[in-house]
Amino acid sequence: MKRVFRVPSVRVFSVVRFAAIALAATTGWLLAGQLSQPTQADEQPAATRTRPARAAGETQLLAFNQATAAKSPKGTGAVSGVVTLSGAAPTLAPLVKKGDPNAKDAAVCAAETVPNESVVVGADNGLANVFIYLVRAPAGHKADAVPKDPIVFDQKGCRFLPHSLLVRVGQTVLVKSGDPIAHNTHTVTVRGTPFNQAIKADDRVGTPLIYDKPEKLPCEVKCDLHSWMKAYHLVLDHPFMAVTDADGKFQIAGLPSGKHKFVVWHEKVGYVNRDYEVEIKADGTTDVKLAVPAAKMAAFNGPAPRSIVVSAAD
Amino acid sequence: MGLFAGCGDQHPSPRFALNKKTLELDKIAREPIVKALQENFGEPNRLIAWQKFPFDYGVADPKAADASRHEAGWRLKEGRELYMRHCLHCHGVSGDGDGPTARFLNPRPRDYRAGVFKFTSTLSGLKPSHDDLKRTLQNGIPGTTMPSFIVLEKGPGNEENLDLIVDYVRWLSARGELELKLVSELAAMGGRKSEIEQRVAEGKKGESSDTLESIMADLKKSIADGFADALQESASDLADSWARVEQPESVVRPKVKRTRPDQESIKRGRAIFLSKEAKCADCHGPAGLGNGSLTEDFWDIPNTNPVQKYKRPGLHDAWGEPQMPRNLTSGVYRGGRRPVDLYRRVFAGIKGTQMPAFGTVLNDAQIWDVVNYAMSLPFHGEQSPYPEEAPEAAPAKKVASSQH
Repeated sequence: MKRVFRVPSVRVFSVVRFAAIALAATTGWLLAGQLSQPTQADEQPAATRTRPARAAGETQLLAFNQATAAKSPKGTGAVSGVVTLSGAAPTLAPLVKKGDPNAKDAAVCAAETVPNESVVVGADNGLANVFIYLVRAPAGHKADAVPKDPIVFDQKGCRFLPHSLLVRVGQTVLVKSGDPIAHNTHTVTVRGTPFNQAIKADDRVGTPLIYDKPEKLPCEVKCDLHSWMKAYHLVLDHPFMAVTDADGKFQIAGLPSGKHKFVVWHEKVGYVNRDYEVEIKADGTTDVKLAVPAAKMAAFNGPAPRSIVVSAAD
Repeated sequence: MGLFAGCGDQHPSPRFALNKKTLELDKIAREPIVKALQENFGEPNRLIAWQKFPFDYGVADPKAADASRHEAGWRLKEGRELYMRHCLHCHGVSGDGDGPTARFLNPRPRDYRAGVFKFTSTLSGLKPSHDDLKRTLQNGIPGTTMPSFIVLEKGPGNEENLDLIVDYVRWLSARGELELKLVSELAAMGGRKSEIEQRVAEGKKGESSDTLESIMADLKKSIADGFADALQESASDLADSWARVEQPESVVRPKVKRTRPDQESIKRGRAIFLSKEAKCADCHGPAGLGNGSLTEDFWDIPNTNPVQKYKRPGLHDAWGEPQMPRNLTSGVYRGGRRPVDLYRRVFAGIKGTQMPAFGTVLNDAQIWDVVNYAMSLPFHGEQSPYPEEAPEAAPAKKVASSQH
């Protein structure tokens, strides 16, 4: 408790009022001790409560996004914003129900519920897993070094973690598995060499996957052993890409000033906007808000229905 | 004579057909593709040998006895003659696997335009080497209607015939795959008819500011700005991928010799086959009959947004055709029956199918055990070529011959 009160609150007030309010809220939380606390999700309307638990893989993804965001050299600008779903989020049945004895490899795959992540809606109707990127690096952008640290692409409970991943051409993706059964990671690339490798059971070292060519659209990654497993990798040869987090927020930094046309893409919709124009100001951040109509999420999936005319009995 | 007057006095000259996916593009987006193909590949009667690709088109040989070899590109021309005579019936003029006999065949003849070939000696995801395609021509593909063409290389002057066909097929494949790559580039520029219609409809409803004129103006600008680069890039990608497979490091070679196919090895192979670490049985079935549980699962068509499902349950290949995992008890091996052929299928998977590469999961000894098990499956009980054996007797001494 004492530690909290030692924070120089005067300075906090003078700098950012919002931070102080947050601090006050935290203090209140601490004073209340171990009593049950209302979580943020409980305060949301029922329709938006589809946000799945944050998994280990997602932390990695956020770290990567922030690494891009942190380096913003002088004279460049950033774009940050939020993508929301306008209208009620569709109710999606889980891909695998917990304890379903009929699920394939039920002991592993049905140990936990596998949520349907094709539409993930978070706080304030924020839409997760929306890719925002430039197809080509802007003119004058000097090719920067590809990050040396490998990105982890994991599998647990017959689910890919994370669901959406940003990758640079030439960067190592370590495909790991935390399941005691074999998986198969199969990328459906359009331009690059496809990858179709079986992954060892409980592979904590990881099988390296390196994309050799940039793609125009996020490419689908599937497992041929578990038909519901699906993830999306956006592979580009420059760093100007982002994917919205669980609350629909994103940021891309280090952009040269001027007008840029971004592709906004979501797996359920396809192109949300193929030429989303944003003006970037030098040493500034442009805030944008995008809304995706919920009607687009309700698209019928499957072969077109056939109408069968049944003649009435005489 | 008058009978034929209505038919025209000439045969129409053969043309390379456009891919169906090209026809899904708007006319404005289609034009640059048609032009690029015309300029860089020509037509069947007017071949153009694009030097960008690592194919041997034939260097001019002024001293050759055969006058047709005096000018460059003679290998491509001769390959075309052979292809048109022996291959076109099934594989079609443009290599689209849609020749006149194709509709009667199951499985369908290969459509080369995807640039994917199933039976190769190369690593996962790579194209076939020249020798792989030649081996397919020599042996045919057992279990399919693809025959062996080994007779074509018999006789004086015919030694190179299969090489000529291989080079023509690789050129056709490059042409078709370049077309597909350009289609995806133009689709990314917004050239698909269905998408334009949808955007115009949304504009009319007031959901966006798009009009047909503005969309077309954007499309034209994107093509003018980006098409030339896209063409060069796509062609370079393709040339690299065909050149890469001729490098020795692209070929899968077992690091250890095949384990002797005794009962112990077969038992170990069976254990791997049924294990949850390899999961072979999920597709091939516990008895190797090709009837695993995944053949009854429903799958999404990859890279479709919004997602579409295949009409039928079961596995599908890269060409969208339903495919059955191989029935291993039949003893018919499409990619070749040498043990090393099976080793390569397991190590590097089968391109264009859902058979993954197991080279990262199993070590060489384990792969050989699986191969030994798979090769024992067509034999039952007493027929087994690998019965439990008594210890081998010492080899009989060879009697020295009195020949001289």
